[in-house]
Amino acid sequence: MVSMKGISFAYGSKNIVRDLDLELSPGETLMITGPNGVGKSTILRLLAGVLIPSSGSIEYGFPEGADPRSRIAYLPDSLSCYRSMTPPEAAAFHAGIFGTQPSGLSIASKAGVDLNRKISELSLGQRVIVQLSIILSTGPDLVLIDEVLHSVDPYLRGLLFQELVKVMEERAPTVVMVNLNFSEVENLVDRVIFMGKEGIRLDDSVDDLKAGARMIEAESLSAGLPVIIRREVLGRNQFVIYPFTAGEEDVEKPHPMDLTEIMTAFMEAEYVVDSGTKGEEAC
Amino acid sequence: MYHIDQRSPVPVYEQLARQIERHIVSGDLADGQKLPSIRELASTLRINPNTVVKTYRQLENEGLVSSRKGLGIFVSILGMDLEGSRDSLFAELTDEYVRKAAGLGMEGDQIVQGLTRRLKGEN
Repeated sequence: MVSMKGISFAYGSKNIVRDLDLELSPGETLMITGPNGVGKSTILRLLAGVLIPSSGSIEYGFPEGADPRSRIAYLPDSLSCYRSMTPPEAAAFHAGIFGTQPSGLSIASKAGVDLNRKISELSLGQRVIVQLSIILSTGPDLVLIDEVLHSVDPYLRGLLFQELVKVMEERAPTVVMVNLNFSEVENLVDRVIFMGKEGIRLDDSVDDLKAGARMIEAESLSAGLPVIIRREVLGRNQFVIYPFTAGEEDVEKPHPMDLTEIMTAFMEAEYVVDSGTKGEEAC
Repeated sequence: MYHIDQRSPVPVYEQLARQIERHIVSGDLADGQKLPSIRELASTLRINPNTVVKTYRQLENEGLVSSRKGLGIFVSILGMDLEGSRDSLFAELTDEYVRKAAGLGMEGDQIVQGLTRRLKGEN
């Protein structure tokens, strides 16, 4: 169990994370999403130990005596490490630091990476592959992946996900991904946290989200429904409701939604400040 | 072979369980046949391995598969009421058909007549 308690972090006088509580269960795969600038990557960096919180504490629950860094695999959003090394040199260096076996870099070879070239000479997608295979080779209990996968082509992404699934199956680590592309990971994650400007806006399982989110087209809605966002589409009112409970008989044709549609609605609600689109004033 | 409907409110593990059940009921998956390993199925479908674990556990509870330590998961329908499963799957399919026909504005009698005509190969 990883537990963040009362975590705050500021760059200078600018509060990025304020009084955050977050518990992560072993084996859980969590996606953190939300608009730009709400501190998603900062949370990953805090979890990775790259940043130190200004207040609050993080408990990892790793085995006694383990070097926490060897239990955490962190793929940052900017890949700056080991630029002047070849992939095998980087793998050996990484393993040397953490006292683990150098990885075989087998996915990197599968991905057509020339292992004799310096990392700085590789394409961005190839660098992501190399870095991910190196960090996963330590047998981590906590895997942190920032928004980098969008720079990788679909074939290589497939390889990456295969590798991730393999690690998930073998070790059941806790996985935290920061993501803005939902369709690729929607069957990998079991929990979604949506960060808004005011902190955590939503923290639910994917199963609950899909079971409870509905899109409804109607002139108006009965009061009291939890409207996330109202929009006008082709001259009609479209409402996104969450959580929708069965038995709202007067509601016409509630359409189920996929994760991209659900998250887009939450995202839109963060940007649209017009109070008329929220809550009881929706109709 | 398997397809996840991203827009379905039914959880992925349940969707998968029902699809495997359908393959068993239809005979595509024979008694004693080995199912894909958790890793194989998870990485092919790009789903969480825990989801596959849940699917297999559910099917095991329903008596459609059994796991043999170290060997894998196998279809096991000894003493299973396949007829009953087929009937309930058919009932589900029929419900969906009727609902969609009703959505087109068709009434009960029209639906039955239309279906009978199609079964006879008429328009």
